[in-house]
Amino acid sequence: MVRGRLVGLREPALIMVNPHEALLSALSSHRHAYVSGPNFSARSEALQHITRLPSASETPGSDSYGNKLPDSANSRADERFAYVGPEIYHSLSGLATSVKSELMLHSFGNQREITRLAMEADLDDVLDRSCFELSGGQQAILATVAATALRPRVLALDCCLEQVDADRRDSLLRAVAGFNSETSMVIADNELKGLPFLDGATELRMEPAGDLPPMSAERCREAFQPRYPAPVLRLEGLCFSYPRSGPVLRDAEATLAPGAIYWLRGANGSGKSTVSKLLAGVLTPQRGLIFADGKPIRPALKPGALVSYHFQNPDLQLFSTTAWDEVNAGPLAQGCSEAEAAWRARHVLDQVAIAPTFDRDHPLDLPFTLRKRLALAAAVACGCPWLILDEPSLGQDAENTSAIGDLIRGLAESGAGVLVISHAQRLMDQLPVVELEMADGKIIARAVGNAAGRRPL
Amino acid sequence: MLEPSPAARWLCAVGIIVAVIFTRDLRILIAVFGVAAMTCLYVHQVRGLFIKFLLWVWLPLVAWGITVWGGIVGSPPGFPLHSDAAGGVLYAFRISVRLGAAVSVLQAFLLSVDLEDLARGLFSLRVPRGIVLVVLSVVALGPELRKRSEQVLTARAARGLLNRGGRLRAGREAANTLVPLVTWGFRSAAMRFEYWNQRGLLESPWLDEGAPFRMIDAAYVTFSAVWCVAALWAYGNPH
Repeated sequence: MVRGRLVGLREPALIMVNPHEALLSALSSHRHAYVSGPNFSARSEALQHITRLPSASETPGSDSYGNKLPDSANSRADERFAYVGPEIYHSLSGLATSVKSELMLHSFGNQREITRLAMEADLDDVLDRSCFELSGGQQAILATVAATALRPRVLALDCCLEQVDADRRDSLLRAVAGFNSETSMVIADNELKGLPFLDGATELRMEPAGDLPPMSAERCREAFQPRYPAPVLRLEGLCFSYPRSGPVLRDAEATLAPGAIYWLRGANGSGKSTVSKLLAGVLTPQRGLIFADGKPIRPALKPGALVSYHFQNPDLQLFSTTAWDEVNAGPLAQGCSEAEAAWRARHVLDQVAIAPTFDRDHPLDLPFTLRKRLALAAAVACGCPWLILDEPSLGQDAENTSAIGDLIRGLAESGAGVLVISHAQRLMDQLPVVELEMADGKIIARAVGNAAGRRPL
Repeated sequence: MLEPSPAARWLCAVGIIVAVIFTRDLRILIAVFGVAAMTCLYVHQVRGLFIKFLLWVWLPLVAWGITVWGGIVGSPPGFPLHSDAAGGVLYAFRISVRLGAAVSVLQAFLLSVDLEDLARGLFSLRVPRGIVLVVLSVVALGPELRKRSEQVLTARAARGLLNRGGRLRAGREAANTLVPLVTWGFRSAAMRFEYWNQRGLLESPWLDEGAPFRMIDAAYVTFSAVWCVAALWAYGNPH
């Protein structure tokens, strides 16, 4: 067992047992290892170490604790290592102009095999598109496939598959594992436990220790009411397409009533985030109308007023220079007084367990887990009548995911309308939801209820 | 068929830009600017960028230069104030045309191809990989920052901090956009650099698939080299 200990966030993690030895020992007997553990148990750091990501090591050949890398003397010069983290955007090279180029750039073997792997991963439809025009889930698949194409000695997948469709994860991992028999995989993820692929893998559990408390379920239930009553939203005949790609929405229709929790699901790239952006007013529908309590509205004329949108990728949502300003900016923009804005900001920061000691920190200096929570807090603090939460539990462990579920339930009970886009079964199973599915550019109401008793509509 | 290979593009761009910098003859500069501008307008990949450069950078620069050197100073550098307004205008015009020619040559030769082709060109010229990395980072930074600025504006809009209102609004928001843009740009560059290193991406065999050097490439390179040498010689022997 590898024990991790994190003392504050400004100090390096203290790993009591050398993670390389533990991981390498696990990989010597099993081809794949699964690293479990809660947030801040130094899972990511262990994965970065074993794949020799430079940021994890200040001295070449040693880890940040001064331990000599155990396999450095034995590794060949042509050996490669790959780490794909939750910040998918940064796992893409930025050098390639299309998905195909990205795969070819990573190709250190037979290029035909790479094309076959891309087809197995359902990337064949997007080969000519720009990597940065793909949905978050598609980017995660691309980053994983590209890293596999390197034929690395060790491939580390750190929470990157959480935004991939649940039913595609197993087949993707099997395709990746089957690509090169010499690649060992180390996976850390909050959603993959129990996946059939991991049945034969060694599990290493990292244990947390430190002074960073998890989110409190009790605190999360104390949601404040929206600033004005949430209207019933109706989407009629919404159409949208992006340049250089086919139509994403084709006459999409739906009725969303406040008080309920809507779970919008669908395959990666099916248009879930596009619907959210249209409602939030950051995109304008090319055809169709949005009604609020029966009156046609144009959210793009006043974006962020009716709907507050929590982005899938927190790095695309955060723009302030301090964590406090990030959360405080929304309520101020909504017309709250400074005192009320400050109260709202502190309340939601407490809910997501971001302590006042982080107030002056730059948002991008926080670890991914906290950045995601900060972005969630920033969206909730606005007090808009409707909230759209795109993968709110990304990178969060079981305890924090459960607390986020309580937060969502609290918001809905306070009268806000909540639409959740998520591939996290654990999160959605604990909520009573109205299940909507995106398919062929349309929104179809599927079921209502919670995991224990969801009945079809 | 007439398109130069990536390696020839680099050689031509460097040769012609050096020649443009050292050429004094305004007629030659205008001719080069004209040909390069027509090429940029013809090539779809750089057409928009070139028109933006003309409208937002070059024309304001011409107007500003003529106002300063032809009107306010009233003479070219090294002459008494208001002694030769026509000379001042000519001086401003020459500088503007030189800049326009250099930028349009750069766009026509280098920005009209994909980043990976630029890398291939440098690799086939045996440029050290570290330098290629720096060059690629610089070229990739522009589109990356543009994308990021759109994201920051979108994020601010989603938080109710601005009503989307076109360029004017975006201009007003520039100050708010700049800080996250710069922070994110540096962070992103550092992270990418680590990933490239970790994965050995610049060793990718795909980048070594250089295009063969053809006769047309030799013709382009010879022309630019001859003109470059002639311009340097003429600069050193003004009489």
